[in-house]
Formats: sequence, structure tokens, C-alpha cells
Amino acid sequence: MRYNKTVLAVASSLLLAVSGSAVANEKRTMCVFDIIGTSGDIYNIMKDYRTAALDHGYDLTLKAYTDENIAAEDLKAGQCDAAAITGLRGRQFNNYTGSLDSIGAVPSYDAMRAIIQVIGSNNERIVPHLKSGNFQVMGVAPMGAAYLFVKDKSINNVNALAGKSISVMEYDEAQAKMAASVGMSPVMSDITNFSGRFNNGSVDISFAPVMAYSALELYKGMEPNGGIVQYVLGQLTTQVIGRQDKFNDDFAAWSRQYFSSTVFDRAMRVINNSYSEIDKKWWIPVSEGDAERYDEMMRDARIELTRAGVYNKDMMSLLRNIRCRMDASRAECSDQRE
Amino acid sequence: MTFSVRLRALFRASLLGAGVAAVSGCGMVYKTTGDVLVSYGSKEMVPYLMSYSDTGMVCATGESLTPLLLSFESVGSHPDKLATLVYTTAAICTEERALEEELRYMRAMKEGRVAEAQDARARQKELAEVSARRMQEAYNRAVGQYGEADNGSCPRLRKDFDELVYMIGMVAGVQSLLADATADTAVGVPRDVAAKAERAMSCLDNEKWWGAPMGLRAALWNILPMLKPDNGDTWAELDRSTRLGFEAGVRLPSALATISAYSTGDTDRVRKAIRDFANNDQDLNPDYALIDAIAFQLVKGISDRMWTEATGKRTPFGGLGTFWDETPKQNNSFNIDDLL
Repeated sequence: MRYNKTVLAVASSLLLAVSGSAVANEKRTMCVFDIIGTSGDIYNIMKDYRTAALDHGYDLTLKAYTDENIAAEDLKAGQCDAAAITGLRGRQFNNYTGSLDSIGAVPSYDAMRAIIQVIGSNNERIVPHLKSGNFQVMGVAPMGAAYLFVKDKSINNVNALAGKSISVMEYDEAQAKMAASVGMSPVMSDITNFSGRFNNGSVDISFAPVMAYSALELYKGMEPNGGIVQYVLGQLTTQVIGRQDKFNDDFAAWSRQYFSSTVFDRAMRVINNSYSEIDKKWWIPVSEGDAERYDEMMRDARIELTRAGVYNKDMMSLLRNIRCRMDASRAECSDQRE
Repeated sequence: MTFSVRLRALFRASLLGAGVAAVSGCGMVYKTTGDVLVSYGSKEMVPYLMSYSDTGMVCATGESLTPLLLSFESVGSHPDKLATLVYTTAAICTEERALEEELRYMRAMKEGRVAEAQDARARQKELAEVSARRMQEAYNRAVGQYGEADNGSCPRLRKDFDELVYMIGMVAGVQSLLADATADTAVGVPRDVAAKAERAMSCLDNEKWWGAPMGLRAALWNILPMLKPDNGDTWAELDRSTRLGFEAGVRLPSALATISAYSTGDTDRVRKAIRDFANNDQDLNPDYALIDAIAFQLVKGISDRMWTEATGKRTPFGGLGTFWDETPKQNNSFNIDDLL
């Protein structure tokens, strides 16, 4: 009997060893959206992620996509086991992390770091939010804040926005709703034409991430009297979404932790480079009073969009708690509306 | 003061004077030497180097000659145009070394050796950073010499040599941006270089330069679709430029098309581009053998990455244009059974 037990133990440990090495050979496809393709920053970050993942049981084959929509569709269709796409596109797979890019919800990079730490913490109260349908969130990285780029410095407060035209991304309904709510006329655009419209003066305002400033030469649209309103309207993120049946929970947990501990700092280096390219003369300061009014406005818009089902209520509440943890004096911290 | 003392004083003074004259004369000699070197470089050395197909020799020339040539700036010579070329050729060395590290990384990944893969990636990034710095310097020198193209206005390019330097400088600018991305943006190359280079290329005669200007523009449209004019067709332009390059015997546009297809993940197009490149190796232009040799290296680099990813080995010697999963064409003109 004792002999039998020993045999069983040896057999099961052998089996474990075998299954361990089998895991080490799991091959998976990962589709990476990078507008520059294999030479871009995100693809480069994912190459190192791939190397680290090999130590955790998965051999990822990276596939570059320069069209984000196709990457998202391929993930849906099972052509990719995981995909790195923006949070805006990722919203269809996970409404919780897809609401990270909501307007005015993440006012600083410290707040961004805190959120990514929460997601990477693998706390049992967070993890269920990261799974939805057959998909799960396996990492979030910052891609920089978005601001209003205006062709005239006098457009420096909400009242001045009324009647002005603004280019908004056609796949993000929140942008268009927000623009319309302050009396602006939204001009539906995509990544190929929004900068051209701003630079040739056919729209007055462009809502754009800090990374677009130099690559798309947005300074041309601001010449001579324009600027960038120094108020963070939202944060863009890149998110890795994987199919639940293709990655085990341990790997997904490790992956989220890797993004929080390693990828965050690297992504911030790229973002900081983008800031350093911006001539200081372009920044249009916003008075404290105006900033508070915008905060309130953004909050009303978020509550409205959450009610309409665009944003996720639980994420809105987490983001509010983080904002209030960073700055308890914010007006919103005295009530529980969000 | 005795006569002899006065004589000695005079002698000393004249010695001192001669010394001063010699020193300032040296400055003049140095500047003259520098000017001669710059003029010789543009008139003789560059055309000579252009006829070389030995990129290893050209890379070594770039690495060793650049400090000497550039040192003449401190005595008043102006080697900006040559600097664009020598920095670019010096970058050939680091690009090549970085590729070797990338291949080592791929092999290690394939065999599950994570530590070696990470080591190879770190080394690749170090080398990519040096490449990015060299190519950014090449770009900056070209812009310093000729200025930027603005919408509707182009810099004044007086001779063929100026056009060549300008074109190479702009290509270097785009390459510096890409190398910097590999190096985790350690250099911080401004992102608007791509848009500026795209505009600059419209200042050059596409046919005269073997389709390269339009080829680069179209390759950039793939990266930044917002630069594409309303009627622009990226792949049609790349195909047209590739044909022009083949006809002129300088296959740079074909290399640009290959890189473009590779970076957008379009595997079928990459294979076709590599095959076309390999099949058009006849009647190459001897005056620009170097440009074609650089194009060869770029295409071979992509083929090597694909082969290594799939098989753990680079392209077999002489096998550019072939792929691991394709069976070679059989000669079916006779039936072996008949012979036996």
C-alpha cells in the first residue's frame, strides 16, 4: 500500500513536470495595433512582453496591425488569441477597463499609475471586472493625455467653445455627445483626416492626444494665435485583451502585474518625450476657477453617459475614489453621485 | 647693449615671429587642407564610394573617416554635405550589428532561452540608439545645409550632388525615427521628421532618382496615412517606383516597398517584394552600386528575420527570394522512370 502511494506520488510529480513543460510550449497569436507597424513604440514594447511571457508558459507570435479596427475584428473572429488595442476600441470587449478613457476621469499621470496598479493588483474584487464574455483584460498601459488644440487662444473657456467646430473620432460616441453638450458642432473624423482638417483651418478645435502634436504637426494648425488648453480631457490607454479559453488565470494575473510594474514606466518615457517636443509657448493656462467648473461639467457628462450605458458604473466609482484619494478637496468628494 | 646682445635679441624676436607665423600659418594650412578635403570628398571620393558594392568597406570608411573630416570644422571648413553621407555610412555598421542581435534574439526565443533573448534585445537597443544618433546627425546636417521643404517651397539644390545629399539626408531622418523607436526613444528624435521628409521628397525628380523619392513618400503614407493626398494610392505608387528602380538598375524603391509591407504585417506582399527584388539583379547601375548594395542589405535583413522566425536560421546563402515552406520548382521535362 505504502509502495503504491510512492508510485502514485512519483507518477503525479512526473505528470506535473510534463504538464509544466507542455505549458511552456503553448503557442498563441497576439495582434498588435501600432500605427507605425513593426517599427512603432507599442510593437517594440510588446516584443519585450513576448520575451517575458515565454518565461511564463506562453510563446506569443506577434502580428502587426496598422488598422486598429481590423485588429479588433480579428480578435473577435478568433484570428488572434490576444490583441493590443486602444481602450476606446477595447470597450466592446470589456466595458470596465474600456471606460478608463472616459472624459475628464483621470486628471493626472499619478492617478493613471494608481489605476493601473489597482488593475495589476489581482485583488479578488477587481479580477471579476476584468473578465467579460470570453475575453479578459491582460494589461493596461498609458498612451498619454488628450487635450483641446485650438486655433485661437481666445478659445480658452467653455463659453468660447459654443458655435465652434471640433473634429471628433467617429467611433467614440462620448466625444461627439460632449462636444454637442457645450454647443460645439462636431465634425466626424478618423485618424487619417482629423489633423489635416485642423491644420488647414477647416475646424477650429481638435481633440487630440499629446503624441499627435509632433507626428501630425498640429503646431501648423495653431499658428499664429492658437494653443493647447492645459486641461486633461482624458487619457488614452493601450490594453491587452485576451481570449479566456486561450490563457490561464495565472498567466493573465502575471501579465497584468507585468504591465503595472514594467510597461508603465517605459510607456511614460515615450509620453514624456512627446511633452518635451511641445514648445512651452503653446500651453494655455486654465484658471483654478475654470478648472473647477470643467471638472463639474465633465462629471455631469460622465454621469449622463454612464446612465446611457456608455461608461461602466463600477469603473466610474473607482476613478472617483482615486481622484479623491489624490485630492480630497475636489468638490465631487463630498457626494456619492458617481 | 653690445652688438652681439642686440643680435641675439633680434634673433630671438625673429624666432618668436616665425613661430607665431608658423602657428597662424598652420591654421591657414589646416583650413586649406580641410577645404581641399571637402572638395576632393565631394568631387572624387563620393562618386568613387558610390560605385562600391562592398558595404563593409563603406561602413568602415564612415566610422573611421567621420571624426577626421568633421574635425576640420574647427578650423573653418564646411563639411556639412559630406557629413550627411559619412554619418549615414557609419550608421550602416551599427544597423548591421543591431540586425545580428535581433536574429540572435529570435533564435534564442525559438529555443526558449529567455535570458539570452533578453540580452540580445538589450544589445540590439544599444546599437539602435547609436544608429539613431548617427542618422539623426546626418539628417540635421542636410537640413542645416539646405533647409526644410515647406508647403509649396523647396530648398535650392544646385547640382546632382546636392540632390543626392538631400535625398540621403531625408532617408536618414526617417531611419533615425525608426531606430529610436527600437531604442525605447532613448534619443528622442522629433516625430515630425516623417512628415518633413515626406514633403522634402516631393522636391526631387522621381524619374531621375530611380523612383526613390516617390517610393519613400508612399512608404511614409503607410506609416502615417494622414500624409497621403486624396488621390494617392500607396501600393500603386510603390509598385510604380519599384519598376522605375528596376529599370534604372538601383533597387532602393523595391527595398522601401519591402520594408513597408513588412512593417504593416502584409506577409504575401513581403514575399512578392523579396522575390521581385531577387529576380531583378541584372543590369545594375555601376555608378550607384552602393545604393543598390544598401537596398540589398535591407531586403536581405527582412528575409533573414522571416527565415529565422520560422526556422531558426537566416536565409540560406544565395537563397534570397526563396522561402522555407515552398518546394523548389521541379524540372518535369523528362520522366525519371523512363531512364531506369
